[in-house]
Amino acid sequence: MKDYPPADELLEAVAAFLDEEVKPLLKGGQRFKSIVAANACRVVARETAGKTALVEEQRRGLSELLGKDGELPAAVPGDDSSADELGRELCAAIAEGAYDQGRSREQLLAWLRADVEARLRINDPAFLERNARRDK
Amino acid sequence: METGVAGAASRGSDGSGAELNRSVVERDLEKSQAALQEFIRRQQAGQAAGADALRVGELTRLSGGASCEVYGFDLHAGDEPTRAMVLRADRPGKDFSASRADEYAVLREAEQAGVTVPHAHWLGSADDGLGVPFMVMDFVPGLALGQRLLRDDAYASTREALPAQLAGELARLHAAAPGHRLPGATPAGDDPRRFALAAVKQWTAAAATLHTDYPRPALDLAARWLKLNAPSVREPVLVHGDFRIGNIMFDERGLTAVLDWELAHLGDPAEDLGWLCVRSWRFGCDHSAVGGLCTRSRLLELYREAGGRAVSADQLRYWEIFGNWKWAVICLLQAASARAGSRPDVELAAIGRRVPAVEWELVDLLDREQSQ
Repeated sequence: MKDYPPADELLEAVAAFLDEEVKPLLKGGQRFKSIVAANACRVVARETAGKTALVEEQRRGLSELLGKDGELPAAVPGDDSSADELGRELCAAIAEGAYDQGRSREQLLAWLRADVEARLRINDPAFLERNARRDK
Repeated sequence: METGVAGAASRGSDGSGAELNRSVVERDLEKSQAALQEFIRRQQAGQAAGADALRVGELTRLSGGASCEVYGFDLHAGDEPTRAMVLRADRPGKDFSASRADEYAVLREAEQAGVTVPHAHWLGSADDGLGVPFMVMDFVPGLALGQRLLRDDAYASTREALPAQLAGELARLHAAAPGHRLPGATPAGDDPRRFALAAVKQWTAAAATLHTDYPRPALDLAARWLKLNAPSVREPVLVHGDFRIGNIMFDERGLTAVLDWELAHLGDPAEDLGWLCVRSWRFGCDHSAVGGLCTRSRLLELYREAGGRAVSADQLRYWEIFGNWKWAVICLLQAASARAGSRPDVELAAIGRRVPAVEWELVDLLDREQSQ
C-alpha cells in the first residue's frame, strides 16, 4: 500500500514550481541552479518509476555475462544490492583481463551500451535524442 | 582542480553554487580585503615607490569550484591608473590538483613560452593573511562559456579564429623548455610508456578516493584499455592538462587567455589535443569533434602548421579516450565534493548524473577500437 500521489507525480510538481515560479525570480548562477534543481527532480522521478525494471535487467544481463545462468537469486523489490554485487564481480573480471578481446569483449561492450542507454533514459534522455539525430 | 570544477563556466553558471560551502576568504570578505592589501604592500615594499599608498578595492566573487575560488578586485595606486586584478584562492581540503605554488610557477613558465595567459604577480601562502594559499594575477576581460561561444551570433568571428589560435597556443606551450620544477612527480624509469601510465595511475588513484562501492564497469574497462594501450612518449613536454572550451577566455574577436593551469604536468603533447576532443565540450555541436569548432584532422593539421609535433590519429584517439575517462572521474569527484561542505550542493551533486553520457561516449569509442 502506498500513499497518494506517487513519488514521481510529487516530484514533477516540485519541478514545475521551480521552473515556473522560482526560476523567473532569479538570475545568473541562482537561475542556473534552479534549472539544475528542477532537472534533478525529474531525474529522481524517472528513477523512481524505472528503477525496479532497470535493476532486474542489470541482474539478468550481468548473470549472463558472468556465465551464471540459472543461479540468479530471487529479486527483492527495492533492493539493488545483488545487482551491485554482480557489477563488482564484473569489474574484478575486467581488471583480470577476462574481457580484453574476442567474443567476451564484444558481449561486454554490447551489454554496457544497453545498460548505459537504460540509465540515460533516466538521467539524460535528451542525450539519447541527440545521438539519434546524429546517426541519421 | 579547477577543472570543470571551477571551470564554473563549463557548468554554465557563475559559480554562486558554492555559496553554501563558504571558504575562509568568503566568510569575511572585508577582513580578506584588508589582509590582501597588507600582503600586496609587503610584496611591493622596496620595489615600487608608494607601496604604502596601494589600496585593494572590494572583492567580488567571479567563479569558483571544488578546489579554488576566484575574486576580482581593483588595485588603486595613487595617481596611477587603477588595475583590475584577480585573486585565486584555495578552498580548504583540496586534493589532487597542483598546489597554488606549482600553478604559479607553471603560469610564469607558460607566459615566457609565449602562451596567452594572465600575468601572475604574486604568490601567497596560508600564512599570508587569507588562511589559504592564493595568487594574484591580472584580470583578463572575456567570457569562457561554451554555450555562448557556440550559439551566439556575436561570437561568429571567434568561432572562425579559435581553431588556429588553440593549436598555436598548444604548439607554443609544448615547445617550452620547462626550467623550473614541475608539479607532481615525474615518473621514474626508462619505459617510454611511463608518462601515459602515470596519467592513468593518477586518475585511477583519484577515483579510488571516492570511497563508494558503486560498480562502474564502463570506466573500469576504459582504465584497463588505457593501461594496455599506453603510447610511448620519447620527448615529454609541459602539458596544460585542462585545455578545453570552458577554460579558454574569448571575446568577439578570439582567444584572450588560457586559464586554469592546476593540472599542468610533464607528459605527451597529444594529451592536450585529445582532451580538446572530449565530447562534453561540444555542447551538443557533435559534428565538430574539437569543442564543436572543427574536426580532429583539422586540429592536427593546424597544430603541425603552428610548429607542433606530428601527432598521429591513433595517438589522438588514445588521449580522447583517456580524456573522456578522466572527465567521468572528475564528474564523480565533483559530485562527491557536494557532500563535503556544510550543506550539500545540488549543482555539484547533479554533475554525478552526467556520468552516464560520458560512459556512453567511452563505450562507443572503445567499440570502434575493437572493430578495427
